[in-house]
Amino acid sequence: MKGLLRKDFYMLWSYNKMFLILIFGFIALSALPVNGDNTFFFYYPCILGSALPVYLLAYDEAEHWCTFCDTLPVTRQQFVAGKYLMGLICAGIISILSAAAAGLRMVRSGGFDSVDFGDQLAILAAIAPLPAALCLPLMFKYGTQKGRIALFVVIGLFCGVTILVDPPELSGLSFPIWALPVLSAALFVISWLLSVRFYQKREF
Amino acid sequence: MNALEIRDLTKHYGGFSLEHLNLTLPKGCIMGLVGENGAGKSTTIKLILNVIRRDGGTVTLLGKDNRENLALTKEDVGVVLDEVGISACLTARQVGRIMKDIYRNWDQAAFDGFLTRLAVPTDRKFKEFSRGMKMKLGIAIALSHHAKLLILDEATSGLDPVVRDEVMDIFMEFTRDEAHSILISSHIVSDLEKICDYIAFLHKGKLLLCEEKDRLKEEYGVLHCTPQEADAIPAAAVIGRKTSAYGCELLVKRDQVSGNPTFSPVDIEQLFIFMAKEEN
Repeated sequence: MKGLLRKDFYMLWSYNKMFLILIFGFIALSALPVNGDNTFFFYYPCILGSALPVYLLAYDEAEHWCTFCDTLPVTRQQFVAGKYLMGLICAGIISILSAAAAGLRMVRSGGFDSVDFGDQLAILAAIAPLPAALCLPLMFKYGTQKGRIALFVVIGLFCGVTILVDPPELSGLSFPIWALPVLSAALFVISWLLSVRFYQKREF
Repeated sequence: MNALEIRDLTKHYGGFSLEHLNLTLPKGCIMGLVGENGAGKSTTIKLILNVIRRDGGTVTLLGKDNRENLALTKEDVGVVLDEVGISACLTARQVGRIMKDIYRNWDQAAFDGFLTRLAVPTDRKFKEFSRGMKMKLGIAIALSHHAKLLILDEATSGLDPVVRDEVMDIFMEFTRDEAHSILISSHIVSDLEKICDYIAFLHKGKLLLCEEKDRLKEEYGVLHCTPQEADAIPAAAVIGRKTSAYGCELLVKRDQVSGNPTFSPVDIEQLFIFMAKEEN
């Protein structure tokens, strides 16, 4: 597992430098109070970060690493776990940075509200695992091409919703916000199990 | 215990079937898998490693069924595939670090030694490597974790003759240990002839023969004769026949030809071509 993660980090750094710069640029922008209530720069880096294993898996398949990995003392469960852990690590780090940037923005604008901040973090935690959870099972079942189409749909929907729709008034919602990350985590686990199932049946 | 035992191995694809393959690779030996493109060599190797699912039969790898805890068995198996499968952005040095975290018995000193011996640069990215260089890196990985069995799919293709010779020497050194074995597929039959103890011919998904190399050479011979002399030889003795303006060239089973004709020794490539043509 450690070897798989190490390889993915090498690849992440080599192939996705510009992508990482873009993500950190968005996080920096989200710290500026000039964006008003628009949540795009707050949530979008996390969506991109969670999608990184999708790109890594696409490289793995194109470079025949998936087949070679099957000849190493690595099980297919471990291979799948490697991608989901990468998703968690990337989304986790980016979420922490995004949360720090959002907190900083609130403090600088003099309107820090701990309840509002907590709600935003809950939504961030709910959104973070979604790209990986939605795209990876499709990639493990059908290959990278169809999986990437799913990713574009997810990102497109997110961009459309956050740009066109005003952010909802969270305090007015009747269900507990903390339930969203729990639901998202459950979806992530189901997705992981499905990916293991799909990948074990895959032939190269 | 044999290094590899394959019994009735079967796999069906859309337009291809591997039919009831039986092979035994004893420990300490090298077996060459010969066959034309699409004969089923890579399919056989993928089935051995359980990369693809078999439709029937059994594969016993180092004494264990290849479906039982294969990840553990693979600690003792070194593999080089036709497409080496290393990420294009990685350097050999990074690959060494990755493999150190993957193999329990990874031997960094051995890996560094093979990289030096095979002149593989440590800090250049894999995408900058020539095909030969890529294969050499694959071979270095396969040899650096104290494997007991090497499975090599076209591992010498793309190598220049000098390096190929060097690699063949390394494989021979590897099998000096009686616990070590190699299954190698290659188009370059002369390489296999040089190092193999056993030769297996695959043709259109069927095993034409699997025999000790020396026995093949004893058993089969080439006869150069006139068409009339060729017609007089019993059909059962003739494996293949090539007729040209200069006469006939027959591949025959030596013990089934009467009299004392002078046989030319058969080389493995010639034998395979004759047999494959006959099968067609």
